[in-house]
Amino acid sequence: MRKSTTSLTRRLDLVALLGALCLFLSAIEYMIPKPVPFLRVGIANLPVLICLDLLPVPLVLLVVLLKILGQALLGGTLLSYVFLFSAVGSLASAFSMLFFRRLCGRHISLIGVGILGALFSNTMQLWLARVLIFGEGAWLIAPPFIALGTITAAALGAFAERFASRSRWLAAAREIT
Amino acid sequence: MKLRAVDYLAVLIALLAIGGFSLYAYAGRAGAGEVVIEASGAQWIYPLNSDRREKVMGPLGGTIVAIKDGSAAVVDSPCPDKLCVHMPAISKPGQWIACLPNRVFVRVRGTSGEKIDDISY
Repeated sequence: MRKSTTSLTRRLDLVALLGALCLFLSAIEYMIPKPVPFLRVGIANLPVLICLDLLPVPLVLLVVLLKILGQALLGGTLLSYVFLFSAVGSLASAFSMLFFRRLCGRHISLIGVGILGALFSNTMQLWLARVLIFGEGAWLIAPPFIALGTITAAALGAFAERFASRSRWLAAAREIT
Repeated sequence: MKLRAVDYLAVLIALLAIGGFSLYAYAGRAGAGEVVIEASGAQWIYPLNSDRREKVMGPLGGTIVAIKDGSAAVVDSPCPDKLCVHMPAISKPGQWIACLPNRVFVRVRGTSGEKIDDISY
């Protein structure tokens, strides 16, 4: 009993740390110049990719929630419709990434997980844009939007994969959780 | 670091999605109209997305209408001033080309709703 309590505390510590990392990476994301408005590198998703194997599903979702809130606070979009896009996109990617990672296990790397997560997130956001704002015209930006999302997600997934296999901090975190 | 089986599948799915959306957003829309040719009291309707060359007869002779790459144009007509031949190719619903001397009227009719001119962000 006592052991499981400390384990939960440690896990929650990890959630807090990863949430803070999301906040920090969101700030970095805002500093990156964007030639087109819908291009995002999505580096704030890095902690989410890393915690997929590390934490149970509810805690992964907690990290995602912290990421959504952190991004909204930094961007000042918490009370605007942009928040809806961010939340829907993040949740879609989180659920799809969890699904594919748990389903395919060793047959998928974080690169594939990232690509599928980005695909689901972007498709949901496009659908939302179609329903809420632009109507059918929203599909016109779909091809470049999804293509760029796939490229950045693959790059981020490659980085996450590398990080996951080399980081001593992560190895230590695996021990305690 | 090595790509695994499902990674390739993920890339494939993403490419298919990009291809599918491209087809739906661009090709499907540009060629979604029909070309209506009216001459000598008759009417011919051709899809805008298949290339063809049609000759329709008017009082002066044959007017040749060509449909190519999703747009239609009059390439030859026996009229004296050749205004219809000089008119730019039409591709969007509502656009038209007329050859008054030969009584040929070519217009594009949309099969799906109105097309958006432009979007800005």
